This record gives sequence, structure tokens and C-alpha cells, in this order.
Amino acid sequence: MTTEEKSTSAPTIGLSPVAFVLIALALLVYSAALCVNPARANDLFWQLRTGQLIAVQHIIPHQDTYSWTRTGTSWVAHEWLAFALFWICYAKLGFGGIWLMTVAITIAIMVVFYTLVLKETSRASVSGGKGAPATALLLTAFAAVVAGAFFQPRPHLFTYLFCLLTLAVLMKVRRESASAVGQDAKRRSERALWLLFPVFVLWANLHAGVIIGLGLLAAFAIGDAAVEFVRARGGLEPAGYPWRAVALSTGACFVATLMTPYGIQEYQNFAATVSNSTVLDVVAEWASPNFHDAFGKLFEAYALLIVAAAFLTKLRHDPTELAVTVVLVHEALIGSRNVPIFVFLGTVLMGRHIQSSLIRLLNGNRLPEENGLVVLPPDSLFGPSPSIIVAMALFVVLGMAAMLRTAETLKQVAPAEGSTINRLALASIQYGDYPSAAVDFIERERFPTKMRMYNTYDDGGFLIWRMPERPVFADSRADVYFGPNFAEVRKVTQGTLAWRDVMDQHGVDFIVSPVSEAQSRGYLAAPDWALVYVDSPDIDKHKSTYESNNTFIFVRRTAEYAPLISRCRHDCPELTHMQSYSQYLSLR
Amino acid sequence: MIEAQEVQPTKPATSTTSGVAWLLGIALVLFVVATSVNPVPESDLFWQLRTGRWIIDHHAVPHADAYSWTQTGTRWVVHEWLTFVIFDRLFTAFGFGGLYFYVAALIGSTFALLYRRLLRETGSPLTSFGLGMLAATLTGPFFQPRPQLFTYLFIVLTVDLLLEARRAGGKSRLWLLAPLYVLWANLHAGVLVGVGILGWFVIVDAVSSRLPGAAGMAPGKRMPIGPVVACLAATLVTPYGIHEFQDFAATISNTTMLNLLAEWASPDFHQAYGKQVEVILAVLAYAMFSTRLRRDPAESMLLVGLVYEALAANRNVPLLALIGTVFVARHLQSALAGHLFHADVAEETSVIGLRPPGSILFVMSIAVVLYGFKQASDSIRAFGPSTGSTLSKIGRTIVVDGIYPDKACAFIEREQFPATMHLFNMYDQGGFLIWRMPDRPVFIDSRADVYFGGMLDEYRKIDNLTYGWRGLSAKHGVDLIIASDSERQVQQYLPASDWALVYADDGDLSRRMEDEGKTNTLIFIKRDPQYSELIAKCRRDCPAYADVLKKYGQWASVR
Repeated sequence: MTTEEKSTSAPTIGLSPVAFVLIALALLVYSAALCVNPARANDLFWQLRTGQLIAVQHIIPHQDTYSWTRTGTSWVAHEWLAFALFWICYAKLGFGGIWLMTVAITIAIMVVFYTLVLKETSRASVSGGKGAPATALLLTAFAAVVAGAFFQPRPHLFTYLFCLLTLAVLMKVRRESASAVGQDAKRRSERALWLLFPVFVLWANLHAGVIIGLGLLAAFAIGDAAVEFVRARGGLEPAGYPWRAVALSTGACFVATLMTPYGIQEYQNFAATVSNSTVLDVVAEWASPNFHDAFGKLFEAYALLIVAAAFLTKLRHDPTELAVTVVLVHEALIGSRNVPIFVFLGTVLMGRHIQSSLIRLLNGNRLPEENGLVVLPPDSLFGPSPSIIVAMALFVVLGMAAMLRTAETLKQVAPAEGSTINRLALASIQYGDYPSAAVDFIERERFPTKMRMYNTYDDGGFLIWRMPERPVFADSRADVYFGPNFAEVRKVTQGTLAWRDVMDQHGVDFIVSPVSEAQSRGYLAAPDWALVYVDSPDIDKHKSTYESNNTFIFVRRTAEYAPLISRCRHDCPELTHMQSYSQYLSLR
Repeated sequence: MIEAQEVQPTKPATSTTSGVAWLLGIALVLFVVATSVNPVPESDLFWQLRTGRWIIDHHAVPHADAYSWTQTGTRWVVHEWLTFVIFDRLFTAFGFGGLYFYVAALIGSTFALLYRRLLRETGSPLTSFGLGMLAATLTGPFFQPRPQLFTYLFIVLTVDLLLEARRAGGKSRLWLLAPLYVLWANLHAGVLVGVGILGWFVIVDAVSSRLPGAAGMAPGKRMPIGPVVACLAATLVTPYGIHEFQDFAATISNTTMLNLLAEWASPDFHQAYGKQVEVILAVLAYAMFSTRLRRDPAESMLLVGLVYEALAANRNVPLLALIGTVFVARHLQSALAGHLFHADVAEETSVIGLRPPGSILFVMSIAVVLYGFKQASDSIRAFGPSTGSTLSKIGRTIVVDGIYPDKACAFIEREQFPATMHLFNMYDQGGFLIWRMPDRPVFIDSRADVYFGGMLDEYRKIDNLTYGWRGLSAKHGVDLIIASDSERQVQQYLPASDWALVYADDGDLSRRMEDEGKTNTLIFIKRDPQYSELIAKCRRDCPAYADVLKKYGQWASVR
């Protein structure tokens, strides 16, 4: 048993009831406000349509039916259960229902995260087995700020939650097993691993991030086995880590992940996704963090915190935990969407080192020690029992941050009408940024259904949901379009002259394109295409209000569509205000 | 945590060990000299050549812009003026091949110095060689005829003298930096990085000396402030004085520029270069974490700062590579000795010891050198001309002269385009046009600091494909456009009925010629009655026009 384990017991919060309530409220309010996160939710809309198919018609899709370019292609809707849940919430309460579900999952994530970090901080000092609420809350808030961009109505929220639960079970089992005396005690401590089996079954049907969970289990099994091997070679006693049990659990959880409607196809799909360099280069969330923008700088600051903790801690490092943290950093560097995983898991893994480093920095070597651990005064700022004043200050700061964020969103980017929940929900998915008015126009003008539509990747999901009778060219189900289709989308979005070849080869008849899209310049200048609709003639201005969308519709100039072109132009008054762009041939 | 002991690295013995050290050092230098044949388009070089020539002819340095018609008269700080003079002299004597001498000489010297310092830090030829190769890989993309190569050399020299003073005493040698900084300040503004590093050590040492106990630093070991102040003063001994600082501050704070230029972008960890950056981060972390030596606070914190800067911009990665490897070298050696041999110091005959096995390292050295020369050969084959002397081929390879609109410029001269025409060109081409057509001012070029403010913002709008590009071009009275067919903006020019395409290098506009180190330049003239004859004449005289008309006749500008 190491000196760290001697100080631990089942953690209880050493707070007064008032301080406990204040900190709990701060956590809840702040977590809810995280979901007030205006960001496009491109996937949500096709997920809603799919959820309806599953929940109402009890059909789990295996082939694409949403596009006209890939119809019949194999489609692994591995998050099918999440889609069904989204639909059920939407059916009950509209987008507000989805938002409330997002809030619930987010609160669960943050509560679990806070609890784990609190427990870890108890291992950094002799404090009666109690953690440091202030440290835990501040780390939770910091982690939330870094990961905040990803708190959206998306299935990956389940992965955040289940990753934390998996890590919690792993760390508990490892420590109990390492300190257990006798084989029976060891076996008892390993039983908790079996809890993961049903978790992984559920997880596998909610999000493909279950593979991260498997990776975590495997990493600990391999890491601990390596540690035991090195210790044995060096003539040292075994550390007692249950790597065999973890390896067995990994195998069982792997079997659990096959209990989905798609079985092994989920792995094929995952492998195809992470190895597709076009996707990795085109889809923004797969890009490396940009260290010029706020997200990159926050990630850098967080990474610095973790690195500093690794160096300044007075506690001994666990080699496996350190190795896993390094891998998490690597994954975060190669994909922005991996940053939240690094933040959540990395903080738990390094939590006690962060606390140890904080104590060392703030108190130097002035505090007494017991068995190698600092004895922290209970009422220390980062101790187990911060005062009510500290708790109040944390509540005020986090509460105000939450309120300001919510108020700002309601004022700037939420629709003017509707209930508060509904307004927050629509603002959070930037509903106003989608081509609703353009779709209304297409329906009103009764564009023939046989017309082949070209649309952008980002708008495809919305169009699938909003115009279910009209198949799309492409959408954000990237895996459906792997291969030539994706390359063609890329060719068009890169603004090359080759867009014409793509349109001609596929026989595209009309184009729905955001004004901000680089390729729209090409369409606007093309003499063989006619602009028939625009939301607003101010095409060089970007609106920062709720109704931020500005979409073009172009129809190919053929004899067949001449009446449609004429009628549309008559019915779209905004076109008459584009005289300053009259040089563009599609306007003639 | 284990309290680290101070362990002095051992100096190389004078027996066959030094033979191995020499062998690896020579291999490293030959490798970087070979890989200095690095074909990367360098838009700055051309206006720098012209400026060097101007300085020699006028025996003065410029203070105001005279190359553009949009910013003419704007204050211009030519802080690298001495380098431009060197460029001009080398180019005059040897052509573009002379610029290769510049790159090879500076890079070779930098890495020779680096290797020597690494050897002193580690006592291990192989560890030093490995770190040197890592630094070479990360710095390699920047082996170009650019003034910043002086910064690489002087930074390594600064760090060498700094560490010599800190490790072996003799702080008086730091005063040698002052005259060096006078020279550096007239060669490249990176001199401010050198001053920053020195100043950093002064500050951190001063703070450390006030800390109690083992964390503190003895006053006698502190970095002296005198040489640092002298170096700072030395940076003012230029024709521009304090303006150099203002220019530097304006540059690093201009967000438009930082977002426009690729070398100021963050590393992309999907790409090979980003993965190499990850490798050095891993090496730094491993060394600093696993070392058995005491970590110097100033060095440790400087490493953090260098990592931050490297993540902020690709062009800062070489600084991390060159400086970071030096500061981390002894820690890496300590870590390796600890993990491989469970000892504070590696055994002498071990692979990371003083006298490693020579035969393996001999083969490795040859392999590295041969690989370097193969890279050079492949580059020349891919990007160099098929005729000419070896030096000429190398010179034209490193400049990638095929990527510039030379033929289009010749056409403009041949057709005698009126000098009154206002030319619009892209940022990357401006430097070449300044040099190739000195009598025709440009819209913009890569002297970003000249265009800070409104002009750079307007250019960025055009680069971002503003719909109102016509308004912007009309505002400036643009009546002539030179563009490469790979630019996105060409999509707006080709269908424009108020512009006429009068020239193309090649009739096939869909061929990606830049992959072959070539360009397909297009020239557009505004359809104005005064230019109708010129338009007709150009179309008759351009050999590729007929092909363009046949393939792309649907575009209004082509008709």
C-alpha cells in the first residue's frame, strides 16, 4: 500500500450544509448554461428524421435513402438509440425537449466529473479522506469552458458520460486490488468490472465512442501488464494491479459492443472514418486545434495545467495513468473533437497531482507532513472545508457567468418569440442559420420533385429533415459518401473551376447554396445558371442575429425550366434589389 | 519526487571517441547542406534582390515604399537591408546558385555550432547527433534564401555563449554578443528574439536568487545584466533605430496577417510536419520529466515559452528545435542513462556513451548523408531546369523559378502595355513582379508591414472572395489583373463580361501546374475603349489564346 492510499476512505464532502448547497447549485446552474451554446447542429436534423423512422415505424436503417447520389449504399446508423431518444423528446416538447435532454445529460456529466475530481483531490493531502470542493469546482468550470463548444444535442455526450464512468470503475478496481490482501479480497475488488458489460451494451447503441471506452480498458490492461513485467524483471514485488481482470473485461466489453443491429460493421465504419484523410481535412471538428483562436488557447492553457501538475506534484506518478494521459494529449492535438475527452479524462487522471501542485505552490514547504503527505488545514482555500464565504463567491461567479451567457444568447441570437426554453433551444442549434425560407420558397413554387438538387454538406441534414420528399446531394453523414462523392464535394467546395464538371456529370438541375459559400461566387457568375432566389440582397454582409441565413437558389437554364425561372424571379422581390451585382451573369 | 543532483556532463575524450564525434558531426552538416536544396517558392526573395541592388546603387537605405502604387510613400523599415546587399552580391556573381551558397553556408555553420554545443551538453556523440537530426528535420522546411537564417545562426551562438557562461563560468565572454548584435540587427529583426532570451534569463535568475533553500540560485551564478543592456542598445545601431521595434510590434500584433499567411498558422497535426512537431514535444517532455538532473528554472520556463510560440506559428518551430534541443540535451542524456542503464551517467562504450561502437555509426552516417543527397537530387529532377550548370540547376531549384509569371511579364513587355495601367496582383506574386518589372508598381506584395491597415484588410476581402470585388477594383482604378489559374478569384474574373482575358501560359486551365513547380498565369484587361486595340492585339499574339477560346468560350471574359 502506498502512502497515498493510507489517507483515503470513502469520500464525504467536508462542507457545511449551506456551503454544500451553494456549491451544488453553482455546479447545476453552470452545467445547464453550458448547453446555451450557439453552434450549428448539422447532424441533428437527419438524426431526427432517422429517430422518427426508428421510434415510430420501428425501422433501423441499413441503407441510405436520403440522397440521390448514394441511394442504396450501406449505412451504419450506430447511434440509432440516441436518434430515437432525440425524436421522443422532440415529439413531446419540440426543440425545447431536445435541449432539456441535452441539459440533463450535461448535468450528469458534470456531476460525475466533479465527484471524481473531488475524490482524486482527497489523495493529495491528509484531510480525513475528504476532497477539496473549491479545487474540484474550479477544475470543473475550467474543463467546461474548454469543452464547452461540444455541449450540443449530439450523441457524443453519452461518450463523455460513459468514459468517465468507465474510468471511475477502472481506478476504483485498480486501487482496491493493489491494496487488497489475499486472492479473495482481490477477486471481490475486481467484481465491479462486470458492471461495465451492460454499460457497454447500452453505450454501443448510443454512440460509436464506445470504442474509446474499449481503448481505455485495453490501455490500462497493457500498461499495468507492462508495469508488472518491468517490476518482475527488476526483482520488485508486484504492484498488484488487476491487469488480467481488466483484459478479460476488455474482451467482454468488446463482445458487448457487438450487441447492436450492425454487429461488426460498426468497427468497419469506425476504421473507414478515422483513416479517411479527406474527412479528416474537410470536417472542421476533425482538424487540429488552431492555437490562434480562443478554443486553441484554452486547450493550450489546460494542457499547461496538466503538464505543470505532472512536474510540480509531490506524489508518485502512476506510469499507466501517465501514459494514458500522454495518449489523450496526442489525440487532442490531431482532432479538436478529442479535446473534451482529454480534458475530462486527463483531469481525473491528474486530479490528485493538480491538487498536490496547488498545495505546493500556495503553501511551499511550510505545512507539516504525515507519511509523505501534506497535512492541510481544513479551512484552507483548497482544503476539504472551505468557508461559506468561499462557497458564496464561487456560486456568485459561476452563477453570474451562467446568467450572462444565457442573457447574451437570448438577446443576440435567439428568436424574438416563443417560450424561454424554446428560444434557448433554437438559439443553441442556430436554427436561424439554416435555409428555412429557401425551403419554403421551393415548396411554394412547387419545384418539380424530379429536379436533382445540389446542396452543401453542412445544409444536407437540415434539408433531409425539412424536405423529406426531396433527396439531397450530400449531407453530414460523411461515412455514406466516402469515396468519389466526398472527393467531388471537396472539389466543389475548394472553389475550383471543376464544379461545372461535377454538376454536369450528375445532371444537377438546381443548386441551394449559402451566400457565404466560396463556390457561390462561381454559380453567380455562371451564364448557364439563373439565380431565382436570395434571402437578402446584402450578400457581402454577414448578420450576427438569429436570422443569419442567406441562401441562393440557382436553376439550370434549360427550356424546360424557363417558366419556373420566370415565375420564381417574379415571386422573389429581393432579387430586384441586386442591381449593384448586375454584372453577374446568373442575374440576367 | 527525487531531489535531483547536479551532474556535470563529461567532455569527449581525445582518443578514437573524438573520431566518432567528428564523423557524426560531419554527417549532420553534410545532411543539412544537401537538404538545403529545398524547393519552396519564396516570394520575398525577389523584392529583396531589387532592394539590395537599390542600396548598392544609391549608397543609402530606403525609408519609404516605392514598389507599389497603392502604398507609395508609406514608411518602410528595411531592417534586413544588409542581408539584401549580400543577396545582390551573390546573385550578381553566381546567379541563383549564389543564393544556394548563402543557404548552405549559414545552415551548415548553424548546425556545426549546434552539434558542438550538444556534444558539450551531453558528452554523447549519438545523442547529440540524434537531437541535431531532429532539429534539422524541423528546421528543414525553412532552409530557404531568407534573412532569418542569420537568426538561426546567431540564436545558436547566443545560447552557446550563454550556456558556456552558466556552466563553465567566464561571464565576460557574454560581452562578445554586443558587437554580434550590432551586425545581427542589420541582418534580421530576429535579433529581438536574442535580446528576449537574454533578458529572460536575467529576470528569472533574479527572481530565483530570492527564493530560499535548494530552489534558489546563488547570486554569483546569476545572468549579468550588463551584456544584456549592451545587446539591447546594439539593436538600435541600425539606419532605422527605434522604428525596428515599432515595426516588430506591429507585425506580431496584426491579426489579419497572422490569419492570412501560412507560415504564421498553427502547425497542423494531420500533416507530416505537425507529426514531427509532436515528436519534439514528446522528446522534450520525456527528457524534462525523466531527468535525474536539477532543472534550471530559467531554462525550463523558456522551453514552455518556446513551445507556446511553436504552437502559435509554424515559423517559430525552428526556434524551438534549435534552442529547445540545446536546453534539453543534458536532461535527455540523463534520462536515457537512467532508463537504459539505471545509472546517472551512461557507460563509456555504450551506444550513448563517450565511445560508442564506431562501425554501426559509420554505416548510419553514410546512410544519412546519402539520403540527404538523394533528396537534393530528387528535388533538382522534379523542379530544376533540364539544362545548365549544376550550380545553376540548384539555384533555380531552390527558387522554384518556374512557379513565377516570368512568361506573362515578358508578354506584357513585348506587347508594350501602357505604363499608366493599374495592376492588380496577388500577394504571393508581388515580390517577383517588383523584381521582374521594376517599372510597373504592384498592388500588393509580401512586405506585409507596408500594407498594414486598410490595404491589407481590403486585400483580405478579395482573398476571401468578396462579391463586391468589382467595387474594390473600381475604387482603386484597377485595369489590369495578373492571376494564376489556381487562384480561387479566377472564378470571378473568367465569367466577368467587363474584363477580357488576353493571355494564358497554357490553354488548359484545369491542369494543376503548381504541382509540377510551374504556373499558368492569366492576364485580364478591363474592357475599356482605350484598351480595345490592346486587347485585340494581345489575343492575336498569345499562342495559347485560341486553345482557351476553344475550351472555355462560354466564359464572358474569354469571348
